[in-house]
Amino acid sequence: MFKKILIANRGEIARRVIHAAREMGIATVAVYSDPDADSLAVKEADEAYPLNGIESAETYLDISKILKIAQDAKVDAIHPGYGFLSENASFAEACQKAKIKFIGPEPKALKLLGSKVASKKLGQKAKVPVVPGFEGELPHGKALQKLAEEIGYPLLIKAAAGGGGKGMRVVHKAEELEEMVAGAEREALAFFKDKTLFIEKYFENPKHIEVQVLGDEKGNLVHLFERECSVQRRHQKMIEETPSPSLTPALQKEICGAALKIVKEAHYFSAGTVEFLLDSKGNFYFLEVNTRLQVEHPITEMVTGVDLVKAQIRIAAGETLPFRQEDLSQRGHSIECRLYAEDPENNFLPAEGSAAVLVEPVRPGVRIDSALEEGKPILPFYDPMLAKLIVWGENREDAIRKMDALLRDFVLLGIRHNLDFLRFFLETKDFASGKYHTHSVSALMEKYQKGRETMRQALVSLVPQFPMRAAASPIQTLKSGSGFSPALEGFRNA
Amino acid sequence: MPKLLSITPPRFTIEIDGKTYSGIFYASADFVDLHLPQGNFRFENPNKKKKRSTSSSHEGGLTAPMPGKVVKILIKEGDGIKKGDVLMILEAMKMEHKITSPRDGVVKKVFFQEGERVSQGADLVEVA
Repeated sequence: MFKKILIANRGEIARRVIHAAREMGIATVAVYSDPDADSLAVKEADEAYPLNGIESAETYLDISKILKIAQDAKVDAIHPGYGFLSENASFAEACQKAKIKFIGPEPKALKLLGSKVASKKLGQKAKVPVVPGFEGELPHGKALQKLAEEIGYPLLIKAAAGGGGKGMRVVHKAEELEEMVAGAEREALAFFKDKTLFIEKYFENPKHIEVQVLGDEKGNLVHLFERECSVQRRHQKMIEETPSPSLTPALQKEICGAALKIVKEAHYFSAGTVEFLLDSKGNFYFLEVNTRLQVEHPITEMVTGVDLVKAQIRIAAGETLPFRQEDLSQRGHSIECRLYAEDPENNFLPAEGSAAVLVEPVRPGVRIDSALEEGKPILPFYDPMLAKLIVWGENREDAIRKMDALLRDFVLLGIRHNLDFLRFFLETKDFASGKYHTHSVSALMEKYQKGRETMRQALVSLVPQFPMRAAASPIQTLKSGSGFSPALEGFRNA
Repeated sequence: MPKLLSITPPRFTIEIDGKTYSGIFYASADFVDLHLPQGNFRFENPNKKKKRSTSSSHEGGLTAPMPGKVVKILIKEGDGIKKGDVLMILEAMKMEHKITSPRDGVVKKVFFQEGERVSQGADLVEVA
């Protein structure tokens, strides 16, 4: 087993890996950008080294900087978390060359499945249905317009190397196409250093179902059942649950079996997630394989009892999977809500501020994966996700009630966020019946705002009685804070 | 009428329609955030100083809907623009947001350059 690992990531996932490694008796090394110098992950790791910079490209995406630190700190392996370098084949190759184990699949699998184009072909080879679309580099001008018409509007443009909705656009009509492609290319380049896009049929009311898989280097493969991630806004997930309320036992068996066929065809090992779209008629289509740990992995851990991060580390160290398919089952129901620094009343745009007051409740069946620290600023440099609120219940209804109570009692003041919207959504009939789909969020916005108006009106007359001068504004707090001045130079705070 | 019954930071109690609720608050110079069983509510300080408040130049100004970085500026001072034209692209947390013109006019002033960071509410472009 490894003696020391480096975590090439930040935020809650860096902490998650640090904690897992600690429980396994493995020492941990954190790396950090300037704004993250004071973060919990840095304080919790056994060692921490600066990446010197702010932008992702010069910090968490800088392969040579990270490898240099890994070599100097003499680590055995690197855990990439999710996002950043987690699905980057060049990084995995560079690790191999430096004789440092990459905790994840081999570069070959990252290359194959990291390209949505190639993985779609793989799906066809494994005889699993795929979404109609164009598999190849996008043409421009007239050829692009023609291609779009052939597939038929509405269309979805995606970054070939993408994930998490980055570089994604929905095109409803031909006039929007060129501009949408240009915007998606810019976003893809900024986030993945690769502007290759691809295009496919867009489904109006789909369900997003994904299957967790685990494989070892000896070729043993198991699935850990499905997750439903249909509550999304801007193609980014907001609420996930398992088991999925949309699958019959027969369909569940079929879709999990299809996932195994695909990863088997790819000779895959480590943790991975096979994504599917489920249409209103119960047809499913293979989308892609995410060759990393998913943000929403905790809900699978809650119902299966398997620690996926530890499993990844053990597999990377060459161990055999300690269980077979028949040893695995789902017990109870789990839901995850993602807390975002985004304001539902301002079109879900990112917000900045601080975690001035923070109460993260601890109670039976509740797990909070968070990187929040009371009194600390929250700045818009990286991901807007602040924390993951996870519950386990004996059944779906129990889990929903538990989440509702958790959202009621979780306190985060000093920044605008989506907690109330999550709670509102959980209470809707659509969610209770499981009949929600990936476009439910925008349809409900008006109702959400109306529902809050009465309370807002009742409170407004009391506002002058609160002492609005006690503390400095978040940005002023920051200026006097330690180690943050470089991050602020660009701010025009008149 | 709702009543504030007590306030001992960070807690407070209020009475609405004869019922008492206990909450938690955070007050800064700019706003107060209230947490109650019914949810979380932010109220801006009505006496707060406006960002870049230069009386007349604010007229026709376009402000940043979110904090972030100016990644692209598609116009320059003196350009004639039409309603709906994309003037600027902001990026925050890797999400792009287009700033479009609310009406026809001429660009009188551009307050930022590409690559600069802006706070929420900052004036971006003045349209005459």
